[in-house]
Amino acid sequence: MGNLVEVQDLVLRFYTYEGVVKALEGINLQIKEEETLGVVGETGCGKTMTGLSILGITPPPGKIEGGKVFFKSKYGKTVNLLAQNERVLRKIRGSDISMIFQEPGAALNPVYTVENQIAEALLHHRRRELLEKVLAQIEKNGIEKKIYKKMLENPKSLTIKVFRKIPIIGRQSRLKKEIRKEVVNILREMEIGDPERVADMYPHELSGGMQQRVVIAMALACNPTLLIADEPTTSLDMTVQAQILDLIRRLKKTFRSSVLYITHDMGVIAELCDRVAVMYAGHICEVAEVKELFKNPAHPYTKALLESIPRPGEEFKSISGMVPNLINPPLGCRFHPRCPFAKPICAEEMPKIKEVKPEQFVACHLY
Amino acid sequence: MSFILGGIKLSTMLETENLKKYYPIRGGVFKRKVADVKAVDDVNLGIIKGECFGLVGESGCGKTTFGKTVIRLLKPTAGHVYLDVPPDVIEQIRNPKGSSQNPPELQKLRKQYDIATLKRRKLKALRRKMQIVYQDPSRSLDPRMLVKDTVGEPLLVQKIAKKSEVRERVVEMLEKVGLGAGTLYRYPHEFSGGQRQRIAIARAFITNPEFVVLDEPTSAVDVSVRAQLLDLFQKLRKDMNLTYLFISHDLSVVECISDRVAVMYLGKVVELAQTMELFHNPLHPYTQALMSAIPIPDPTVRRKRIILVGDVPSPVNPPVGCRFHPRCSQAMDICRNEEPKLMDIGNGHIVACHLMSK
Amino acid sequence: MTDFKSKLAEFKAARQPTIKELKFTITRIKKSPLSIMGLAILVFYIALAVLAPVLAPPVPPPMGKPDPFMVWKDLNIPAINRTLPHPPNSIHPFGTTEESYDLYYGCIWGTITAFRVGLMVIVLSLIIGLVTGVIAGYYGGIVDEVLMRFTDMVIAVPGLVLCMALVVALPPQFVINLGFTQLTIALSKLDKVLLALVLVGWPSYTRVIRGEILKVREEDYVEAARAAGCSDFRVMIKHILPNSIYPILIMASLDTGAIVLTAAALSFLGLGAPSGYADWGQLISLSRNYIYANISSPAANWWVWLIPGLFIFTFVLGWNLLGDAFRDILDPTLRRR
Repeated sequence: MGNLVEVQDLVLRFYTYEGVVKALEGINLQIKEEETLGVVGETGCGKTMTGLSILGITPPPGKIEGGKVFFKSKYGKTVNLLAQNERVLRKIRGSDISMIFQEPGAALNPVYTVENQIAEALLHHRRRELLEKVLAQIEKNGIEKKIYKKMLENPKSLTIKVFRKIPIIGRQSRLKKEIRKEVVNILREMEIGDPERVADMYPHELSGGMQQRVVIAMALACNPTLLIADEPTTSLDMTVQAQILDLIRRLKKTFRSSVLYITHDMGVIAELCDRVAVMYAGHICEVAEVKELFKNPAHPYTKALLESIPRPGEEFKSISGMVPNLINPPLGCRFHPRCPFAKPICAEEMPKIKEVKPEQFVACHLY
Repeated sequence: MSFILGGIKLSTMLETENLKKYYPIRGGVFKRKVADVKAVDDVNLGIIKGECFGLVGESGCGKTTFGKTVIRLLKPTAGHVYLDVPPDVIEQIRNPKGSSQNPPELQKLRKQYDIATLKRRKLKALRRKMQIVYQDPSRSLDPRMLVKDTVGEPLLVQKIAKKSEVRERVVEMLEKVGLGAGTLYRYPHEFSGGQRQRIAIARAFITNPEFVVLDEPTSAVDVSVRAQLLDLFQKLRKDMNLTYLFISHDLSVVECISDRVAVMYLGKVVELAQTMELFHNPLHPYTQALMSAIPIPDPTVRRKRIILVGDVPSPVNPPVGCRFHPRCSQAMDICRNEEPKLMDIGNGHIVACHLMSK
Repeated sequence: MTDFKSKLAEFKAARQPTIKELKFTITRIKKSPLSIMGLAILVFYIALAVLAPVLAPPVPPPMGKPDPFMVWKDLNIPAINRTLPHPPNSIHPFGTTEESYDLYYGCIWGTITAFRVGLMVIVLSLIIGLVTGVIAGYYGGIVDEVLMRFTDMVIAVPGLVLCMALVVALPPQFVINLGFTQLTIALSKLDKVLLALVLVGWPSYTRVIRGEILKVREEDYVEAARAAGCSDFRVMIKHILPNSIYPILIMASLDTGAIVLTAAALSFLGLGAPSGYADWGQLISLSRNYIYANISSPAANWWVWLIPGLFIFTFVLGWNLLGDAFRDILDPTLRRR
């Protein structure tokens, strides 16, 4: 399997009143096709920003200052996402790459029904396909067929724009029925019992787990090849989390997409991911296959993270020190002030990422 | 529920009897009460002095409401909460002898220890003994107050210290939680999540309370900070002789810090046992499902998931009979009609499930 | 000595966060040119108000009156020409109005009146509005219902009619008998109008602060303060109010300009300052017969309405810009951008 996404030397900086926050310094990451890559790290390490940078939606005052993000689109072409203009990116967002966030209640618009929101995604990306389906259904060669044909060929023409505004005739009921069928289908795929009822509900009438399913439905409505999930289950209950993780696993197989799963929970990583990237203070420390990472963690930070997971009957082990301020990060390896294995060279030179074992990459001077 | 361990009677810190907390739902033109949200429905729990009592359950089960009701941040709708009752008296209150259930001496005793109906002055004095640490420190600290003022406020309000002594005691407390005097004159937003939670802990513990409710105190912080905070909680419990009520939905954390754990579902306690017993031998189907849902940080272990069907029903109209029966894979006919009572299986393990009486 | 030094160090440390926040606020103000303009305008007017006795020294009788706020008439102009407004010249930098009132003097001293009108009405309305709003918002339930219905009733009262009624009905002096002493409150005509404006102005503050309090009341830190044993009063003053007051400050500064406009309009109509008082609206109304000069050149007497009008316009603009600046700077959710 080739690389779906290749991030090269990504640099992201935030220009704030207090100073320049060096959020990401030279990130190198690969996401293969049909794999789940987990990105794990503490708050502030830059994992969410990596996900946002791939999509090009980093919030101001952040600026991407360097690097390339190569993405293999559905048509086989590889493009550098950072070099594209907004129009191209908008076509890619939602249809090739989708993102789901932590708070499902905040991602859903409270004044639109579930159907409306999924339909918005559908209409934006799969309009042609739906119109073709509608056209195939109309037998008579009347005005209706002509109008739909025109919608398909020249959607921006004045006739269509006027037509849409006419009260009763401009309803486009066939298209709406087709959309509803598709929406109900997608909801059923999300293991939502009674999708017909849920499609007509408003977000506040749904529980947290249901809302997250709807968000996932919106994200997967257009069959993206990459799903970026930013801590989607952190705010949900344990049993609901188990359901959602199960769902993501199944959907990944059905839709044959890759998943970039961002989290700080090592248990979820162990459950869901094929490969894991560990980030600390804007750098990638280690990338390895999940079994190898848990059995033989190479980087001291990974080791410390795994040890700090509370285990019953044992003492609580924590990592000494604090996450550094990214306005003035430590020179050299950013973890060295807290590292029990630090050497003098660690304070001077930033370690480069090396392949210490097949498929295990570490950025540490110990190797 | 008798607390006799090795022949020694342990004193109860807190005991609730038929505790109920309902929220009325008003509807109609005249806003009459239409229904109740039964957040806490007839809960009987006892917490031993000096222990860390874990309370788990999912959102909506009433555990946070229970915690807040027990320290009188919310007023109970019905029931009693007995605080710090000596062992012999508690036996009397629990098992009244004599013809009537409520002879006057017993009533006096109950009134003496019952905090469910306290008002004003006595309630304010109670606040000194019972405190709470919230989940999200960025919301539980006043963003416009300096750390010194936030942590020192309980001292001033409870008149424990004069204004001149406050600074000293605040610094002392901050050092106990691992922060220095340099944090005094700063605002909460200048600190990281873990540090903010320590400030919140300092505020709660500065009055030398006896009983502290910890409402998901580690849910909003990172894993590495979580270990630090749990360590801090243990240390403070030993140093200050405290009793904890540790509320969480994260079972892995509860397993590490609690002595006994109770599981709540839709306002009722469904299971209660010593921690190791509960985690190794869960008997109630809901507890079993909860246990199976914990993600294990070991990719080689694949746990068999018990996936629950459907969502948690609303506490406004809980199902008739056993509240869990619509989602239970082992539901029997009796479960649909009759609500199971809490039964003592032995070794302090209590379950409310009809499967136990088979 | 060391005790003093340590106390000084302590004092400095205590002020550190306030200083930091202030520095941040100043930087934000510097970034917004409109805020600077608003501030500059207001500083200019404050200087004018403070320096009024120097810039426009009071003129002794018979031309002036004992009260420095009464504009002096130029009796040196022959009686035939006195009713006509005179254009700006060396004696009258801004010209005169009908009856030869000096416009320059009126405009400068009118600044003090404008500040007085604006600030007095706003401060009093704020106090009443805050007290009712905080109590209604914090306690909720029936207290809230009663207070808000009462507020609704007050909103229904027509301001202009109330003004006129108070001007006519209230006596010029109030004597309150306190038993051991007598308190005399003198109400000039302007004061009565201001009182009317206060009485109709406070409900909007009540509503806004109540809305903010409903939001803040549910926050965890308020509950934590109650868990520590804080009394209701302490929670309201120390926790809820500081976190909900910023929208009110913004509203208040925007309203100051509006109040000055309203007072000017009322003065023009004859309700407000007595005739000849140094008030911008009054000054325009003094020459109401000459605003439209004649058919061939309607704006021939431009100084009569343009100069006081400019004063009103820029004064209100300054307050409006300041209100906008407040909003941009003080809103905590937007602050850290």
